[in-house]
Amino acid sequence: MTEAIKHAVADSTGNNEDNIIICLPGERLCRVEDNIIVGDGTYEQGGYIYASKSGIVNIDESTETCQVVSVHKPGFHLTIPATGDIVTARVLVTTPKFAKCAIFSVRNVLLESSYRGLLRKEDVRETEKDRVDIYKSFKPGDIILARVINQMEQSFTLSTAEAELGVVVAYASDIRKNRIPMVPIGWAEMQCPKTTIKEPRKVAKVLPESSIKSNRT
Amino acid sequence: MLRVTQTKNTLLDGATIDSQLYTTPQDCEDFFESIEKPTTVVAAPRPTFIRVGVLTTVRGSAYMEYGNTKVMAIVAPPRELIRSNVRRVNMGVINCYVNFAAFASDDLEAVPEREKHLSSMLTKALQPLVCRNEFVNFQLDIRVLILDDDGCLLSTAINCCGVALIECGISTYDLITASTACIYRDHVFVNPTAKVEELLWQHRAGNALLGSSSKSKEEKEEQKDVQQHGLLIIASMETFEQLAQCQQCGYLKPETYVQLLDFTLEINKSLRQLIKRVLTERVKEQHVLDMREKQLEHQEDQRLAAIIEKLQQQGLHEFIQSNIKEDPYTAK
Repeated sequence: MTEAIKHAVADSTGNNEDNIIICLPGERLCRVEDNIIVGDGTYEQGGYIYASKSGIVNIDESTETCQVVSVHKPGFHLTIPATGDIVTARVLVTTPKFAKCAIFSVRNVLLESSYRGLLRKEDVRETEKDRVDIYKSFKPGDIILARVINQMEQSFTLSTAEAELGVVVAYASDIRKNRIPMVPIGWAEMQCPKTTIKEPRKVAKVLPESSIKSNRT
Repeated sequence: MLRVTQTKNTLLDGATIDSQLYTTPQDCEDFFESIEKPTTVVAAPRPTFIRVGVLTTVRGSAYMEYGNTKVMAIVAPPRELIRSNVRRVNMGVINCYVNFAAFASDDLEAVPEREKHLSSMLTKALQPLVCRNEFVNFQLDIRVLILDDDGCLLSTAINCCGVALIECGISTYDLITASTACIYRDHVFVNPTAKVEELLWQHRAGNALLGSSSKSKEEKEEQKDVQQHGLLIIASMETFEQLAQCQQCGYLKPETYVQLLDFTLEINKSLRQLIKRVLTERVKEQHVLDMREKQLEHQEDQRLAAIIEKLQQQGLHEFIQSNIKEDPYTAK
């Protein structure tokens, strides 16, 4: 099946060097079938899959039941936070009901400009949602890991209702000038190593990258 | 002497229309004489130069020379909509800003109006091209700088923006190409120069003066076959055979219209080939760079891995000593 695609595309564009298939927007890649999934940089129209970006066609056959057709653009890749992405954000303002954040990184990609994020009180913790206090979870200036759950009209709605999500880097509120990050001493507390002040936070259980990868697959 | 016959139209209920709306004005005569008139129509683009990624500070940029017309386009990554101009749409918003360089135009008074006009036309041309559903609640700013104007401004700007959008990695449904053709007194101008465009621009409102030969009634009957003059700008997307934009001004018969349309589509086709080649080269170039970067990263990883292994094998002290010897600064 995929051999056929490769052949067809190579015929139409005439470049088959180094076994890479280069495609441009509007180029027909293959027919829509049950076992083919429309991936990044492609769109479906009239029973066919077309490329919507310039780049290299990538056919992912890692799963046996289906194939993912996607186009990878070399060089600069445009990233916009999408639903389900893990983002890194800085807390800007906290109110009793929500915390406003500035998203500056999506997955491992640093963004050019920050996007607005909104973390509501109900989405801070998985359990005991009614007992959550935003003031006891975040402070302005904290760096948090969060998951995008929705895109509202004005901003992205974030959630930290997972053990791995929450505050990663935080500074004690009175010793800000020293810029010594606090050390987590529990799932809801952080301590400054210099002054030994303890402050409540919704701490993220940061895992090494390798273990996250194994979780995902 | 001017003479405007006013015909009564029952449908218009007393209002009148000018019967000689589409005749060519007299004062353009001399101007027309000075223009080089093509003998045969060659539906081919002008000598074209396109360079992708001319600016390193912006992600998507393209520079295009179409004959003497020089245009630069810049596309910035999507920004969030500002609260004040939020319209309730489920699509991304495209904003185009066209600017003339200070030295591009002699007629400085007309510049703001032309900039405005070009911006809105360009926005309309690009709207069907971009997959706007992919950045809902975002706005995409496209800036165009015109460095030199020798006709076909809008079509060149559309071509240039299309390339810049793809370079920026914004999803588009297709490649877009545009071209201009016009007719004036049975002379078909393909890719009209600034002079020809100016000539046609004077007729745009249709309030032209009477022709010199229409003095008696019999002659007027013959004049039914009025001279055609008109300008046609076509932007097309070929995969689905769609027209992204069609701008027309002047007076054209349907047959002429079709003829001009065919010319523009022909040019669009050859421009598309060129743009395809340029973009494919660009992808290859980027791919090679990516591979090199990956290789360097891999080498760095290997180097670090070797160091760590060494560190584990030898004692720490010994390792530091051996490393100091390798340091070029201490060697000096």
